Formats: sequence, structure tokens, C-alpha cells
Amino acid sequence: MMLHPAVLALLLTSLLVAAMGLYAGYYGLRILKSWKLESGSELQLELERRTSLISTIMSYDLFIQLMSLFLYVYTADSLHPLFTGAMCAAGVLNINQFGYPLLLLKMLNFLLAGVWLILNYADCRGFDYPLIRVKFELLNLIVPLLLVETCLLAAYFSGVKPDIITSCCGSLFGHEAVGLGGNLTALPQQPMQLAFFSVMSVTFASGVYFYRMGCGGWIFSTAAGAAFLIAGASITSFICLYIYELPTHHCPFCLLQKEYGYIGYIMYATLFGGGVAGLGTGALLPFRSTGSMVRIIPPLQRRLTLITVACYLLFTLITAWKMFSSELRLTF
Amino acid sequence: MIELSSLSKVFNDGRSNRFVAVDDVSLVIMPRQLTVLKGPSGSGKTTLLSIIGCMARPTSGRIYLRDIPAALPYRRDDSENVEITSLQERFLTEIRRRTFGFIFQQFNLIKGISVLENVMLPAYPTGEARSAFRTRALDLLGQFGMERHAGQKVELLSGGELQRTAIVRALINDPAIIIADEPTAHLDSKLSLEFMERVEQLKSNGTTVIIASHDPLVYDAASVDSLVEMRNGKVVGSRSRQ
Repeated sequence: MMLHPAVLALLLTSLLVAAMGLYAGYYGLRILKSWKLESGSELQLELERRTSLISTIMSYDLFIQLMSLFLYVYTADSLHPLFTGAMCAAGVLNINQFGYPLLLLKMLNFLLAGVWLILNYADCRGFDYPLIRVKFELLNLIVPLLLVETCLLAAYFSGVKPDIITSCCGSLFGHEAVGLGGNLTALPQQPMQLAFFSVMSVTFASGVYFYRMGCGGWIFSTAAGAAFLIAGASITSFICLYIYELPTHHCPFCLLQKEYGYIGYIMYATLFGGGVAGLGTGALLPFRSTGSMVRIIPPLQRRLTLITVACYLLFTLITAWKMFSSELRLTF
Repeated sequence: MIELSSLSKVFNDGRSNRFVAVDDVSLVIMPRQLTVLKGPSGSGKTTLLSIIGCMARPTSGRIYLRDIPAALPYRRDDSENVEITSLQERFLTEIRRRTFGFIFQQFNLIKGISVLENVMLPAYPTGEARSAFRTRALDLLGQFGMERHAGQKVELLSGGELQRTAIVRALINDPAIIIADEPTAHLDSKLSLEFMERVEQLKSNGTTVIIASHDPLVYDAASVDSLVEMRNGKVVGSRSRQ
């Protein structure tokens, strides 16, 4: 294992997140089993006090989890000069079989943690614990994933040794590449451009409609989820080509480097921010008429809709700006 | 009404010095009435009063506020019943501030500042304009014959004046319920009777008053509507004077 400060920070935060998650998960199970708000039993009153503590702990815990995705990618990127063959994070993640599965798991955990934070935010504003069950059900889904993530992280970094020769991003995200990287690269560029701008247009239109009229939330949330996937694939398929101004370089990680003004960080932050806010809007929809949520969820959803639209708009504007300002012109 | 359902408070649970301060108390306190909790020292009056006033949490049991305006955000309407023991601290703060007014045994006025500032203190966190609650404070001080002491520091007040200042401070946020814990403990008989007159005045204005006391001048007063007798944390008797 490399005793790099960022590696140690990642391992420590992951252990902390997993340990706190285990603690919260244990009480989550007790809450799911024994919660009965109408009861005044000693156990119920103890659980009510405990839920307050767990919500606070997990708010910080999962916020750290959100940040750790960016730290993981940053760490992989910053380690690339140490490995023969690696030109960016893509090569470093390919050092062993755990790097890419861990990245995908961290992305999934990011979305789940973000949605949990939104549910928790809404629940804590209600005096009658309106989302307590769904919140802890989701937490108990997240906790095992956090534990798997910690194991994968330990396995990945324990296998990272400086004498390993790895592949560069050109081969991992080239037309001959196999696996997810190859599949993303092979996506046809013109239909992807059409899909990207179409799904963003649908998301903006449904977002504005939902913001103004308060209905059509499912359409907006579904569109935001689809936009997240399509925009994520579009980065590899065509957006990065315009940024690198190279028709064959599809790496989604070189965007994070200084040569490209660290533009990847803002693009991924807006993409994930919009994705979480959009999915969170949908996650709140079934509870709009639950107890005190009647007056809490609608304004919260409006704010989340604004965040989604603002994030995706920024992402789309950066994409459009890069497409128009690039020296590269793709002909179909 | 305030409905207490199987309320218990245990200190040091699981230890050798475990102490049951309130033991399975169920009680109904009617609105716009004066209820007195009577009992010897250590009978659980103050603990029960603290739990009703959201200053302490019970170990088990529930308290319902029915048809009492409780300062709770996002309620569907004010007629909705509120259960206060399950509320998280952020909600309790607002309820303590607006629904309850407290008169303490030692009055707990802050020395070094004026009577008016003492009275206005609970109103500052509400966000109301200072000029509005200052006018209200002066008006209340006038009603209790304290207007000429408004600028005076509290350490210069007599016992009766301290007591009236404490009452005015409890009323500043126009609470639905006044809670007083042994309010006459440090007063002579004349001032105690004067206090009970003030309480009757509050009651006639529609305020619910709950007093914990073992002073006969309080629990034998004609204005008492309901008397609850406590011993060893339990309610051993209660009677209503209707």
C-alpha cells in the first residue's frame, strides 16, 4: 500500500463513514422494528431521542461520503506520475480489478447518499417524523454498500504498488477497448448529441413546468435521472472530444487535469448535483400529503427543481461553449 | 386541555441510585383554569411541572395539548392536537418560548439589568420588532403597577416587586399556559395573597395556570379550580371545585 496522504485520508474517511453507518444502521433496524409514534413507551421515547442523534451523525457522515467521490478521483489523478503507462486517473484506476468497480460503487453511493440527505432534510423539518420509516429503510440499503465500498477501497489501495505497469487512457477509452470504457467510446456521436440536447431540453421544460404549476414531478424527476445517465455517457462519447480537440481521445478523466483548466470538476459537480437534486425531487413525491410534509415538501421540491435546472443548465452551457469554441469539427 | 398519559420520569436508571421522580401519572388539566399540584418536597411536583413545560423530557408517557395554540411550524391548523413529548428540541424551543410562560421559585431575574430589559428578554428570540414588544412590556408593567420601576435595576426591588416582574416576564409572549413553581416560597402571607389575586386575574383573562406548591395560601385559595395531590411521584388524589 502507498502511504500517500490522500490515500490515507480516503481510507480513514471511508472507515469513519462505515463505522458511523454501522452504528446508524443498527439503530435504524431497531427503529424499523419497534417504531410506534402513538406509543409512549420507554423504548419509543428512547428511539425518538436516538433518531435525532443518528440523523445528525449521518448528515455529516454522508456529506463526507459525497466529498469522498471527488477525493477518490483526485487521488487517482494525482498518483498517475508514479505508474508507468498511466497518463491520468484512468490508468491508475486500472491498476487492479478493484479500481473501476469501486468508482461505480462510489457514484451509486453518491446518488443514494444525496437522496438520503434530502429525505432527512425534509423529515427533520416535520414535527411528526413523517419520513422516518422510508429514511431508515434507505439508510439500511446504503449501509451495506458503504461497507462494501470500504472493503473495495482497502483491497484497491492494498494492491497499488509503484512497480505496476498499467494502461493509458488512450487504450482504455479507445475504439478497440473492451468493457464499459470501450462501450461508452463506441456510442455513436451524432445520436448521442441529439439525445443529450433533447433530454436536457425535456428536463428544463418539465422543470419549469413543475416549478410553476406544481405538477408533473414524476416526468421531471425521470427526465433528470435520464439526463444524468445520458450526460454522463455523452462526456465520453463526444463532449471530451471538443475539449481535447482530438477526434480519438475519449478519456473522461483527463478533463480533471490542469491542462484543461480542471473543467472536469465543475462538469462532474454540476452533473452529480443536478442528478441528486432531480432524483431527490422524485423521492419526495409520494410523501407530499403525509402529515406535516404537506407544507414542507412543495417548497423544498421547488428549490430542488431550481438546483437541478441550474446545475444542468451550467453543464449544458459549458458543453455548448466547448463545442462552439473548439477547433475540432466533427463531421457525420 | 393538557392531557398527561402514563407519564414517568426516572433518574439514574440502571444504577444503584435509581430514583423515580414521577411514577405513571395520568391527568387532565382543563384550559383557562387554575390547577395546583400539591404535595410535600420530593413528591415530584417540580419534575412534573418541568415535563409539562417542555423543560425536561419524560422517561415514558405522552403529553397532548388539545385545542391549545402551540407554536409549531407546519401544523395543518391550530385545532390539530399536538403531542409534545415526541417533539425534537428545535420545536420544543419555540413551544417553550410562545406557549408557556414560567414563574420560578427564585424568580430567576437577571441582576444588573433593568426591570424592563428583564421583562423583554424572552421576546428577543421571537423575531418580533423590539418596539412592539417594548410597548407590550411597558403596558404589562403598567397593569401590574410596576411602570415607575421599569428603568430600575432588579436588585433594588422588594420581594413583591420581584414577584410582579417575574409574572410580567412570563406574560410577555402572551402564552396560553403559565407555569409557576413554588411562587410564594419566598413571600410573606400578604404578598402570597396578592400573588393569588394576580393569578385569578390571569385566569379570568383566559390563561391556563398550573402551580406547584405546598403553601396552604395557594392550594386553599378560592380561585383554585383543580387540586392534584402528589406523593412519592404518584397522584394520590385530585379534586375539582366545580
